[in-house]
Amino acid sequence: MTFDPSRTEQDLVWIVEIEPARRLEEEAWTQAADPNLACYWIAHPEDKPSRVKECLKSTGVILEYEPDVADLAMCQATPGSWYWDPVNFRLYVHTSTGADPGGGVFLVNSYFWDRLSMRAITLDGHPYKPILGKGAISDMSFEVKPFCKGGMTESWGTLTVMNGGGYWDKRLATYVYEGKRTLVKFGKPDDAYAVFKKAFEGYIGNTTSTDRNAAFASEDPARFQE
Amino acid sequence: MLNIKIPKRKYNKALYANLEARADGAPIPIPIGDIYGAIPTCINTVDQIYKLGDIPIHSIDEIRSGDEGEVLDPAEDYETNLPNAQFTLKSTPMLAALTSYWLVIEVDYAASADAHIHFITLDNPYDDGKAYVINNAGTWEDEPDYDFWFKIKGRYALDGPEINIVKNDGPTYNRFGIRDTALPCAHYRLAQSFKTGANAVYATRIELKYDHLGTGWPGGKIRVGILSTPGPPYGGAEVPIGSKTEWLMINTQQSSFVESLAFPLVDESIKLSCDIEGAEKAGVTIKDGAGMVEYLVTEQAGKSLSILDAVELANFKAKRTQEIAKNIDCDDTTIGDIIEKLESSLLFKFIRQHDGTYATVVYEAGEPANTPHLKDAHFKTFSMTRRFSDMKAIVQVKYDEDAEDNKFKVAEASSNVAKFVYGIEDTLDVETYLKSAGDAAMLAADYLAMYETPPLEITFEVQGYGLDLVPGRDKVKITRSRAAYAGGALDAVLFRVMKITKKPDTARTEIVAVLDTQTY
Repeated sequence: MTFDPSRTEQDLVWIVEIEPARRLEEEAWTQAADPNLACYWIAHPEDKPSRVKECLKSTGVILEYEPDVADLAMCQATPGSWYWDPVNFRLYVHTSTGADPGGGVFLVNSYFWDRLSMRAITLDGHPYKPILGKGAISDMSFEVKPFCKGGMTESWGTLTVMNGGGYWDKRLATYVYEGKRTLVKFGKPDDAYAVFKKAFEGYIGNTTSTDRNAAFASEDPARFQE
Repeated sequence: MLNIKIPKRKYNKALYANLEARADGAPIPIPIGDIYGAIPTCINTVDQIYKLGDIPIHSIDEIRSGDEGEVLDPAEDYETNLPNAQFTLKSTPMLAALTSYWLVIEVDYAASADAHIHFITLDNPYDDGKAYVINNAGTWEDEPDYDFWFKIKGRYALDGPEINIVKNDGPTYNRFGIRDTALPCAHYRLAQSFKTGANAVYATRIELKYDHLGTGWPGGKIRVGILSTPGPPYGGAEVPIGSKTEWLMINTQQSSFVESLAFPLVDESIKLSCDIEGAEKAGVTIKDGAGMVEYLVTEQAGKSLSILDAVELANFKAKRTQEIAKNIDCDDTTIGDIIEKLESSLLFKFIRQHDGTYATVVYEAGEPANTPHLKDAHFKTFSMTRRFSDMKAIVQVKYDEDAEDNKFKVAEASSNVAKFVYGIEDTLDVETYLKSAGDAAMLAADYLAMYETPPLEITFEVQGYGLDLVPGRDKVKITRSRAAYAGGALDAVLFRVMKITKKPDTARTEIVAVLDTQTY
């Protein structure tokens, strides 16, 4: 879909995807059974991670693990990999050194997608939580400065979502949302996920919660290393 | 990525224990391109090692010393270490106490039987050394019955008073020719051993006495070095101590002459400046904007080259060939700051695209394929502004920064139209990384074309979310039956998109665009 101001885009569904991180290095990991002793697992009720990364504390070297190897045996054979057990909701990892990810040597993050929408909708097999109210998504702007100054700025004000029952209180305390990727997309209710169009891709900045709402501000992409 | 601060490292005593005091805490520069007047930092005041950057560099083209900018000889005065952006200065000879050394005399004229000079010897009155003659193969032969007439002067500290270290003077006994083909080994060099006194000392000068008795004066020059080990058959490889003296013209005005040959006085207080070629790729110095962006992203930010749009990068490289250079040595600079100034220098934009990659978009006139054409019915709102506040009458482009004093040359363009028609005198200063006067003059003219009349800016809203439009990269073609434009209308006029605001609440997009000919 290219820019076409003649199109009438009504009855659109807006979705927001945020990729928070769960810090796993202080969790109690269980060593996998023989012969997969280089692998360790942990319960991961957040569903299948989108990615898993480690940081070796002694050197600061960051490693994104091989994405989702096919089985536990392959995870055992591949240092710096992870395997998802969909039956038991377990995340297995094989760290870069083979050491216990909870042993104090590493920082370990798993990432997963929070999927939010204006209405109850399932896309690509994933349900979207219908907690975006009217006006939840503020204006998004992209601007280049004049040539003689150089530079470009992007901004998206603040995403405001409903915080009924304290849903976000717990999540903001449990997971890391600050500095994490976010996508804003839209499409028609009967569109497939692949047809949805990206309106904004950026990073979350400040997060604020009240009894009624949680707000996610956007942050300058220039700050991020990814 | 763009907020990464460079240079990343600073000079400190933990990195370099013998760092010169004034450099402690200063950034270690990142030199890119041809840099004139880079100030090296002495990272080892004992061994006289100097550093120019925190990256491998392509070359050190020239080193100048002192206020008068005397050019040092790369063959004689210093050794380079380009992978570490370093050079080692051959320094004032430092002589240990109660130690034997050898002074070695050299001349540069062609060996001759009838045009050479002789150095005066005495009848072996010196107890702590002896004379030597050295053949063309570097073999030493001692002359135990002779010693040369010599005086060696020095200082306990480089800024202290000069004193006599050791001397052997008196009436002439004999003389040895140098480069005299009438002699069996031709005496290609001459040497004299000597022993220092009770204190370590810098050798500052050596005096020798010579004449041309019975032969003609040769042309050419003379100099002296000090060794800690004589060559074969005595000590193996010759080991020099510090620098040799400067070459001095042979004095042909007197029949017998005492020559005073001075060693360079070099310590951490010496003022040096260097011309260098900085960062390189595949053995070639990076001198263009595309190379600089690629280097910053991959080598300084540590990112994969794949985050740069390959097509746009190739176009940038082809269309922006102006030479650029920058010695990045400021305390508070980010990669984003560097790229922004490069944008100002080369009229391109570094744009984050929808897929997360970065494009180096070069401004090019004309209508790209698939440019949206917006007509009356599309506009929900429309306004046109002549931005008088942005106008400039004079553009001054700063270029070719001198790394020594951070001063720029300036190319200027001025507009009679802005001054006469609009009555303004405002000046636009643009600091750039450009090297050449011609490129800077062209850039000044380009900027003036943008600002000598009020930039024409339109702001409008259209239905939808402006999907794949990217500000700075894309253009729109505007047709309106009413507009404050020639003929009272806009008829398929090109504008460059500068800002897009997507408004989910109203399902509209607001676009700010500037007349295409006024964005360049």
